[in-house]
Amino acid sequence: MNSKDNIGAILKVLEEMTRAGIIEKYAIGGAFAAILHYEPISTVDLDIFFFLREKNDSPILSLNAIYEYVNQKGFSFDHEFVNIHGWLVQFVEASHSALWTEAVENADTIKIKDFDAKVIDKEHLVVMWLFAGRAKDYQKLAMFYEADFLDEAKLSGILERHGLTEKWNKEKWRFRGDEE
Amino acid sequence: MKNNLQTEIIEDLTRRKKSSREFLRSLSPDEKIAKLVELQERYYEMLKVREAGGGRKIPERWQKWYKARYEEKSKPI
Repeated sequence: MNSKDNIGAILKVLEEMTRAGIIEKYAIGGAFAAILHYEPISTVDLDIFFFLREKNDSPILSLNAIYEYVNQKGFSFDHEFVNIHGWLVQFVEASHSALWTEAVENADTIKIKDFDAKVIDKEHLVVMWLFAGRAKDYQKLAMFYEADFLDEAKLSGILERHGLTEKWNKEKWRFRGDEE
Repeated sequence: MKNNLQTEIIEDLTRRKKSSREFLRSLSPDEKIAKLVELQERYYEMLKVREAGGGRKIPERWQKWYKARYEEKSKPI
């Protein structure tokens, strides 16, 4: 099995984790989602935003259920990544952020191999990058802005709901080129 | 004359870049993932050459990527 075919195997693992009651919902985010919506760019990992099925009240979120599962399956992991079939997968619990929660709840479905993969939609990705605000986030934001394929009304709604309209207006010079 | 030639070269490069990006954007999700795999391989090679040439070390995340892709891939599941 080569690396690109392993994506199907990763999606299968995610489905198994859902069936096993470890995660409730998941969606692919980050640069990998950008690739699926637009064009290939280099990224080291695959970000999975998810909800844990069994929530705990601890202020420090425990991902033990995930680590126990991957350990049982023989996948190696460290504090940052799980190595699933040669891909570095980063699990990000989404329920503590209203923006991430909404992004997972409203994810698009994209066919990859024989799987209906859940992928965070373009507009939520853009707002998540704006919120994170690192140089690499603005690069992806600029790429999506240039593509001219965003639903402006949907984008405005997300920015408004999450109190990010002002930041958008303040920072848009970073990704709108010389348009203004 | 020189300016015309430079303009032509720039226009040609811009055209090629545009056409290459249009091609990449037209790919199916599976094809895009295959391209990502190629990009990762090429990027890692570039980092390796840079380190070998006395430049910055390969970043830890890319060292982990290499290990995951080539050293631990055959670990029994």
